[in-house]
Amino acid sequence: MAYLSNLARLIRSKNAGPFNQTLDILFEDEANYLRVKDSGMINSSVISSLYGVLEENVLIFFCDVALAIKIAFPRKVSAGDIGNTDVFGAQQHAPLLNIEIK
Amino acid sequence: MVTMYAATGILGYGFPKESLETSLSKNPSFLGCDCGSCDPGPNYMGMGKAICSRQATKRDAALLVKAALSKNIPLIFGSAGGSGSDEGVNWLFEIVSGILEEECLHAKVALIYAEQNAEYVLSKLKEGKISSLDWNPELDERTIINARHITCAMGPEPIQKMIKEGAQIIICGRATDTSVYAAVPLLLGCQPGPVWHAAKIIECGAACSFPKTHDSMMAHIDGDSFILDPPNPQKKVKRVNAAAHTLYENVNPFQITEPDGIIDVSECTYEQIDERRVIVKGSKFIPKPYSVKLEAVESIGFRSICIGGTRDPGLIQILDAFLQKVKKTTQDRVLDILGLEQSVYSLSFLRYGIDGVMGKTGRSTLIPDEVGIVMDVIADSQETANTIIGIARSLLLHTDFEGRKCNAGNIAFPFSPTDIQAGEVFRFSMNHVIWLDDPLEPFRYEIKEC
Repeated sequence: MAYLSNLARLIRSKNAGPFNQTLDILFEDEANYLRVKDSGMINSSVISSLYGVLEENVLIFFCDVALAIKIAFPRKVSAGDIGNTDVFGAQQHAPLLNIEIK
Repeated sequence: MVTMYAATGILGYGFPKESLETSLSKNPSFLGCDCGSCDPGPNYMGMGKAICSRQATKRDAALLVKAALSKNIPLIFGSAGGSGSDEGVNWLFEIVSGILEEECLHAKVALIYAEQNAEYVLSKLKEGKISSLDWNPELDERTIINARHITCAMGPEPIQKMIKEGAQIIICGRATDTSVYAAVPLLLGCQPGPVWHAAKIIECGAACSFPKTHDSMMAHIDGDSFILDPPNPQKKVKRVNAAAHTLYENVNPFQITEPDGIIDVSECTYEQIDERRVIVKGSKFIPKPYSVKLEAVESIGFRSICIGGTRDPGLIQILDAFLQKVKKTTQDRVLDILGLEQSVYSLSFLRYGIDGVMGKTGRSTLIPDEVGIVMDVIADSQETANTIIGIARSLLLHTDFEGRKCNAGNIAFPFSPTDIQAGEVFRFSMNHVIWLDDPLEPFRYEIKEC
């Protein structure tokens, strides 16, 4: 077992426009990327429960050439609106760090 | 071969002048720089404020103006002034014409305005020409009427029109980040796949290279491929970073939508030619009916805030219930003093150390020794917001709680005055597109001899 934060080079979050939240997981080497991809642990159900978003609104892309996983879902509150806590959306990555990968 | 040049990620972020000089020696067909971003939030569009200071913007613009005119190649600025509003275009034009005068230079400067009035957008809505994007609901009339500013993000066609009319410097209102860089290569007959893909990567300046600093980037388009080439000899582009770049700030990393088509990178290959440069092959551009993105902001009122912290373990243990009580008592007092119901203003708390950054989603289970509290009031007028925050602040400081020892005051304030007037605040209110028959239609054009 390993934590995602030990396997990935970068784990980051950022807006894609003011209405959408994205998360990127980038790997230095193919072995770690494939281990995480094949573990099945990055799925819409896990993201839904970590972030409190509807499962059907979670998009996940596996980019083999870039050794990267992309996750996207709608922000609960758009950037800068009432109730917003993170205008750039750059500090929403923490729940991913301790995902356990076999 | 056609060479594209991007000065830096946003005009005003800066770039070494040596990078520009090196790039000029490789004969770029144009110089470009994106000037805008939604990232810092809606207030920049709402208040007509630029993201970078005038001085920083002028420094970057002056280098580019002199370089472009010396080489007789077009210089294109996109989304002027940060949001691409009409005010932003005029602001950048003032800076550019000042530079021309100071340097005793003359140029034909084109201005392309991208702001829309409500009537135009309403007419498009009635014609059924507006669709929503991503997870947003359909656009309604109320949102159009309430907008303070509305822009359409132009594609490359308006820029190409101005170049054909002899413009040497083109200052665009809101434009897609890529159109600034795609306009000239497409005009020169380059294949759209590599042009749009290269534009998507270099519009962030040198962000796909490292070491990571604000710097320029070039892309050389040759047939169906392109080469990423950082002009700064200290920088390298690695193939995996070039491949990862289309992930950045996009919902879908394989297909990126532009006004007249979709950039499809799903079958691209990325090869390291040498230590510093990457060649990209296989970029496709799939045409689609023409659409331009609508962006808009509406006012949500006026904000006042108060910042403070507590170090009392007893208070921190019961903080949720305590703040609920402060809120309820404030609401009662506001009704009494101002006659205002709680529905016409908002009062909320951010608790740093507990859930200030992620809200309920990332709530920590650990109880910290200290908590930072930001109290936020938004109301119809600045005066009302100031009055409400004053009432709330006094209650935050003095409200008693069970077992309280620190009855001289619950909160440590870092500043005097404790209450901070933050001005008018906005929200982004549109994430939609207009389907167009004519890519030039929504925009207004002026050419000035300077």
